[in-house]
Amino acid sequence: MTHPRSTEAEVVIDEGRLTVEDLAGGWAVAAGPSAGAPWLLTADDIVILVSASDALLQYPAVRVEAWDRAPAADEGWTNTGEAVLRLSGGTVGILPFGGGEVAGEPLVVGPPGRYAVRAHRTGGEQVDALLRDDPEAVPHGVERFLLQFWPVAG
Amino acid sequence: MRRTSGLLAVLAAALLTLPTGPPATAAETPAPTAVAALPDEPDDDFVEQCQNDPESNSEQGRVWDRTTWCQHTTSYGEIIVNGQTSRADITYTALAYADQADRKVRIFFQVDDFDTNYGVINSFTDMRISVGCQALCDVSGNDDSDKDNMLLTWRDFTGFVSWDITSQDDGVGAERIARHRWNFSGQLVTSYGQATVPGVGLDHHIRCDSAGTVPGYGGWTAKACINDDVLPYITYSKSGPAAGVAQHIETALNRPADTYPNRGTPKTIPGKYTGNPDDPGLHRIAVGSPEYVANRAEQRRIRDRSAPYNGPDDLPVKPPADVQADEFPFASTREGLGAKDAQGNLLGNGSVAWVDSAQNIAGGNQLKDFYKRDRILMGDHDEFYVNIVP
Repeated sequence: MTHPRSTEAEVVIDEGRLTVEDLAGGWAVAAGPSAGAPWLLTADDIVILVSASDALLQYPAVRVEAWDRAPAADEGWTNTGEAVLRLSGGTVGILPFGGGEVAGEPLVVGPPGRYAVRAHRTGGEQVDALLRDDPEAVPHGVERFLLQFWPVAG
Repeated sequence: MRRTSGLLAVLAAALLTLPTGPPATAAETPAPTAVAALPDEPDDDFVEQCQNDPESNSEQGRVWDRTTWCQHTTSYGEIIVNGQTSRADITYTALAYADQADRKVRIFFQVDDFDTNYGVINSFTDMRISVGCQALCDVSGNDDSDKDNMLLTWRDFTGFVSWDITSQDDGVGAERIARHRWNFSGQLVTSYGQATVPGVGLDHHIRCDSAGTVPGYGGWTAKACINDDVLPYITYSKSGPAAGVAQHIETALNRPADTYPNRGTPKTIPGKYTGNPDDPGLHRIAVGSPEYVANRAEQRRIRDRSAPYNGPDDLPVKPPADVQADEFPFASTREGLGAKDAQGNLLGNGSVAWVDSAQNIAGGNQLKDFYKRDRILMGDHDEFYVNIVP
């Protein structure tokens, strides 16, 4: 697949985090950090992305893509991590961590089943630099996340 | 002939029964489970737990969490003929499951045993049980033949009979919130045609909503019901994965003057679970709302020691350890750090403390799940509390 299905939105950071959740379920306390990527916490139906910034109020840009198979490695990101999880509904939404409105359009990743997810993060340092210059600033789209799902066996 | 029915003869209860028992321990805090369909039969383990639970042996039963209610108790019916009392004591188990994905509640009932004193009431006496529901709700199952049996048959039938309460998709606000009362009623009829006065049990309260259909509740099921006879609270354990958060909140609730900022200044920080619904609680607000943004802005000023929070009684600079600035009351509540009085002055009834990052993350995860599992609605619909346990 050359062009994956995708959705993107800016979403408010809450508790230093945001989530991409299967809209059919998902519990945050079940989520554990991925090997080598403690900022990527996953459990079935939920992906929690931790900001690299200390900002208490900012709106990162999040893009979620659904692939048929593992996409090629995407360079140019500060951090990358991978995990495997089960989606019980198959449709995900980008959400503020503490709950709220789905940002952007929900994305149909695929049928219920097991998926690999690769997460990318960048821009946290730029957020902190911006806030050092202007502590009252509310950065929009400076920190960025990319989440890529594809189905795996099992 | 005087006829009473304790099964149910307990007079209709007060409109609202809010248990005032001690807070649950951490072990009693239910683990999150997937949103499940209503069961066809009650869970065996839960039935056993209920039957061994002293608190469930009461007229009001016990709300275990907002999804489940149960009761295991003994009630009676009696008829007095020519000065002699004939009586049956009936021990039963009843459970109610609130649907996490529909405006529905399923109620189960089973007679575990009975005892008679060999008068006109005996094993062949008929017992009819029904469920009533008030205010925009319907009950199915009352007309089923399994609700009308001889005491002997009730006891020897090892399964549960059930009813479904359906809440009409209507109610207050965008979430279409409806509160309903339901109760059992029962009557004994002897083989001689003598009947007890129909008895009506205590009212139990449920709340149903369609919050998942409106903005602000993303990731929630479209509709659901909860058991409403309980004050919602989140439990944090001082020995759990969010121990640092628990310690911080305990200080804020019990020794608020010891907290930053303005340490040493008297504060009244709300949200402590006491079981008393008159005590000030917390009210959820939308993440990203103007109140939320104000809470975070104030937290940032306190954390960064920006004026006016740069005095000796304010939060010390960040230590070298891996810590985060934890706030209480939560930023996702109206009572957060940015809360103001009617004149627009900051109330200052809040606290910020440095907490281990991993523990702060764990505490946030618990709060997120609490909102969803206990279906904490925004605004004035759901005042909630925090319970700190060892």
